[in-house]
Amino acid sequence: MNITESGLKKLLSNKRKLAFRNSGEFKILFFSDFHSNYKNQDIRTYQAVERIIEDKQPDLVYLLGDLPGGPTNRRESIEMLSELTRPMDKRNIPWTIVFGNHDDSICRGMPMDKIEKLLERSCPGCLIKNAKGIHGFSNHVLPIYYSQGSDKIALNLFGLDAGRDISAMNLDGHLRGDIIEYLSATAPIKARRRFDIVRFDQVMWYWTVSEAIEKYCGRIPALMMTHSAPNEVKLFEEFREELGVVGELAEEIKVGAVNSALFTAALQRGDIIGFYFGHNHINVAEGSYCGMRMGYVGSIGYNAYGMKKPMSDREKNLLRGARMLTIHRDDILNYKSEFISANDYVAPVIEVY
Amino acid sequence: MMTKTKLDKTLKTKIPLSFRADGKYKILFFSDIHCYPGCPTRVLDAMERMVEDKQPDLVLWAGDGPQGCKTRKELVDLISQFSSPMEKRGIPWAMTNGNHATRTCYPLTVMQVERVYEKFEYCLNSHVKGIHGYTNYVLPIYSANAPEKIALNVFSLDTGTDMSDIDEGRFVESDINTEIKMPNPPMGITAHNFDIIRFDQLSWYWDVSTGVEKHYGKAPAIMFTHCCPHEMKVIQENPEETGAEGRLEERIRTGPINSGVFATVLERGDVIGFYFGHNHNNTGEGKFCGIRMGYVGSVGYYGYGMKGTTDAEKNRFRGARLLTFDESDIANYTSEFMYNADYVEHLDS
Repeated sequence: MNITESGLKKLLSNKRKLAFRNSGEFKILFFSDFHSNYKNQDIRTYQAVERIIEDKQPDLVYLLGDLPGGPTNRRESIEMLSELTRPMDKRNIPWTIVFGNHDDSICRGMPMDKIEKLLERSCPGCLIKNAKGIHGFSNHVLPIYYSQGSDKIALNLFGLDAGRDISAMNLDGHLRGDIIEYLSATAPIKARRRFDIVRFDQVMWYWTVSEAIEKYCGRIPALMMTHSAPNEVKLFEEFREELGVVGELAEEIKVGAVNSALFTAALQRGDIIGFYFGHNHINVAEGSYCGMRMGYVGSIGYNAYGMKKPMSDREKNLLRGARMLTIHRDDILNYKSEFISANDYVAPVIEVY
Repeated sequence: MMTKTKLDKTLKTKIPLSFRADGKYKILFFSDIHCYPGCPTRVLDAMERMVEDKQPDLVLWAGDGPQGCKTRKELVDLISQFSSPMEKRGIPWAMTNGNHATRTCYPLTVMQVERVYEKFEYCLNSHVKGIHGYTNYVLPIYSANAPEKIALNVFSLDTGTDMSDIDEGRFVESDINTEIKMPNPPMGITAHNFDIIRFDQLSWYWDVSTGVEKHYGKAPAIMFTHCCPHEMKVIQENPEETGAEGRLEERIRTGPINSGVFATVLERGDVIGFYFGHNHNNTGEGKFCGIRMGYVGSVGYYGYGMKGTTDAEKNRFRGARLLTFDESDIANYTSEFMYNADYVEHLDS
C-alpha cells in the first residue's frame, strides 16, 4: 500500500470540515452500546443522549457501536437511526460511528456494506466512510483542523471496525472470514471473545495512512476508536495503580485469546495518544499504558445489560453514561477526559425487582 | 506488495534446500547454547552427538548462542567451534538473534556479528534491509521432485535485544524503547525487559508470504524466533484443550507487549508450526488455532537451569527439538524433544 498526496487528500476529505473552535477547544462526546430495541425502546436512552448533548454542546459525537436493534428493513432502520441521532441532527452536530459486534442488527438481513452505505447516504450528519479493500466496514479517519479557515490538521481520529459476532458471521455467509473457525475454536479456551478481531490489513491501512499523513502533513497526534478494547487493557485489572486507572471496572475485562497487532502498531507509529472503546457496559475506567491513554466510554443504552444481579433498576443502571474529551489545540496531549453519568440527566425508574 | 524480482532475491539461499528423494526433511533446533570462549565443551558434545544421531537436513539456532567475545577473531573461532557439527558434515544451518545478541562480541555491532555468521560456508543467514532486527529471513525448502515448487518455508524473525543493552546506544535506536520500558519497573516484570517483533517485520513476513502464494502457490511454513508469542500462554493455561505435551511449568518469558505476530501468521494461514527458546526450563509443545507452538529447549549448560543440588537435577531439561517432515503430509510432521541426558552424561552420574 502506498498513498499519494492526492490519495491522502481524498481520504481526509469529508462532508463536513471539522475544526477547533475559535476558543481553541474541540469536544468529542462518545456514546456506545445503545442496544436499542426498535419495538420496545426504553426512552431514557434518548432522553439521556438529548440532555447530555444539550448540556455539553460537543463538536462531534462519536458512536462506538452496538446500536441495534431489531429493524428488519431499510425504512425501519432509518426510523430507528433518525430517532437515535435526532439530538445531533437537530443541532447540526456532526457524528460518526465505528461498528460493534452486534451492528449487523442495525438492519436484520442487510449485509454490513449496505448498512454502512445506509448510514453514509441516508444520515446527513454522519461522517462515516469505509476504506475499500480491507476487512471491516467503518474504517475511517477524520482530521480536525486548527480552525475552520486553516488547512493545517491538529488532530486525527482513526476508527477501526473490530468485527462482528462469530455466530452472526456463520449465519450470513458474506461475513465469513478465514480465521473465524479458529477464533470460535478459542471459545472453550478461557477466551470469551466470540467475535472477530481487527485484521492485519486494517492495521496495515492505519499504519500506511498514518505514515502518509506524517509525510505530507507532518507529525500529528491522533485518537484511535474501536468497539472493543485492545487486549492490553486487561492490564488495568492487575496494575490499577501503576497505570493510573480512574473509574469503575465492575466486570471482567473480556479480551480474546488472540491479540491483534493494533496496539503495538499504534505504539510504534507513535501518533496515537488516546484509545477509546466500549463493549464492556459496566467498565467505565480510563488508564494510561505506554504513554497512551486508554478508556472505556460506557454504555448509554437502558435496554442493554447493566450491573450484574441488580436489586433495583437504579442499581442496574448505576454506570450508564458517556465519555467526553475536551481538547485544546495548544495542548492536545493533555486533553481532558471525563466520564459522564447518565443518572445525572435522567431520573431512575424506581422499582423493586 | 513485493515485486517478483525482489521476492526471488529474498527467497534465494546460499545453498538451495530441498526435500530428500524419499520425501523426508529433518530440522533440528538448538537454542540457548550460551557458549563463550573457553567454555566447557559438554554442550558441543551433546550437539555433535545429536547431529550424528539424527542426521538433520537443516539445523536452526533459536538464539542466545555464542557470546562474550572480546575480539572478532574470538567470535569467529567460537562460531567455528560450535558450528563444526554442521560445517564438517556440510549441513546447512542458520541462527536467529536472542535477547543477548548485543553481548555476542563486544567490539562488534549486532549487524557486524550477523555478517560474521553469513561468512560461514553452510550458514544461510541473511539480512533484510530497512526493517527492525538483523535476523529476518526466509529459507524456502523445495519439493524433492518439482524443483520450482516450494514445499515448506522457514521464517526467522528477530525478537530483539535487552533494553539495558539498547540503552547503551551502541546498537539499536528506536522511538518506542522508552514506552516499552516504562511499564516494566513499576510492574516488576523486569524479566520482560527486552524488545518485541516490530510491525515492519510483520509487514515484511506478510509481503513475502503473500508473494510466495501469488507466484509459487501457497506453501506451509515454520516460524522460529527466540522469544515466544504471547499466545503461548494460552497453551500453558489450557494444556488439555491444546493437547500440550512436555514441560510448561516455568513462567513464560516474552516481550512486554504482544507484537501481534500470532494473529498475523494465523490470518496469513501459512504457518503450521512456531518454535522458540528463551525459557530454558520449558520443553513443551501444544496446538492453538491450528498452529503448533513449542519450545525447543536449552541445549547449553551455562545459562540458568533448574534449581537443584546435583548437576543432574539442574540440567534435567536440557535438550533440543527435532521436526521430521514428510512431503506427502507436511502438516502432520512429527516433533520430538530430545534430552541432552540421552547423549552426554551428567557430571555427577
